[in-house]
Amino acid sequence: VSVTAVSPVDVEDIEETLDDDRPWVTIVWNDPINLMSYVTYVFQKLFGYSEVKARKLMLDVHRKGRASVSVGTREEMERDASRLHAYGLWATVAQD
Amino acid sequence: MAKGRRQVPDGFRRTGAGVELRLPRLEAALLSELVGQIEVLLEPPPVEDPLEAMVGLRDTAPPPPDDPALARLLPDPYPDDPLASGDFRRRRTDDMIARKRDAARRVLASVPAPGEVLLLDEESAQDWLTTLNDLRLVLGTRLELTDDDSAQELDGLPADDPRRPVVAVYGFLTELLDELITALP
Repeated sequence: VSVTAVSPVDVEDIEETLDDDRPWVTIVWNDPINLMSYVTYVFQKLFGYSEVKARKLMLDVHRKGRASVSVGTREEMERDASRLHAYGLWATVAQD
Repeated sequence: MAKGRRQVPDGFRRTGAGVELRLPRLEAALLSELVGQIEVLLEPPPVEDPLEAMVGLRDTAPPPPDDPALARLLPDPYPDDPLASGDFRRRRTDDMIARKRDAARRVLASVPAPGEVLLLDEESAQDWLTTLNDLRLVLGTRLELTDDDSAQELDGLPADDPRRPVVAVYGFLTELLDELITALP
């Protein structure tokens, strides 16, 4: 278990959320290493998506180069990106 | 993305009891060697500030990884925002490294000896999945796989290409991972 200190950046994040309520998204990017079967499995496992939805997202990543896989607050998206990183997917966080 | 290939002689099988793994002697030895190297690669970055180091807290962000393979294991979620990116590293890098090292250590400890069968529960299956995939990410980065075309190029390397042994190991890991995904419920 880690101890996380509160920093000025965390405070800034809260202000940002107050002024601007556009949702945040987690984006997964295409890469030539991760297997199609693996990416589909990870989307099902982490987000509880059906196989059909997970496969569609995987194909979006594969063909379009990227896909938004979840929507929410910045904190939620950072958590999702970290979970995807733990599985080796190339995920970033951005405001929609 | 790459398409999986089949046919590992022993490998992962789904049975009534769960997912089983059998490995021939050389494959088990190769895998142990590779997983051991993940631990070496995932050495936690030192805490530079002496006071922070003394109390075991990190309050300043560790620098982004120099090694491209390590950078691939620890992606930057804010590539266009250096401040947010640094803050993310400060808060998350140590945890992510610990998580990946712990999974690798558990996998290493559970590699089945020749003739033995490893029965994977839900948690150990996830350890094997992520560790096999991390190994593929490291080798794939070393092989400079940057797009889907460069991945296809590896299939037709000439006999004297120095990358061939690494490509063979990469292929072995790909087959094993694909087999595990197929065997999972």
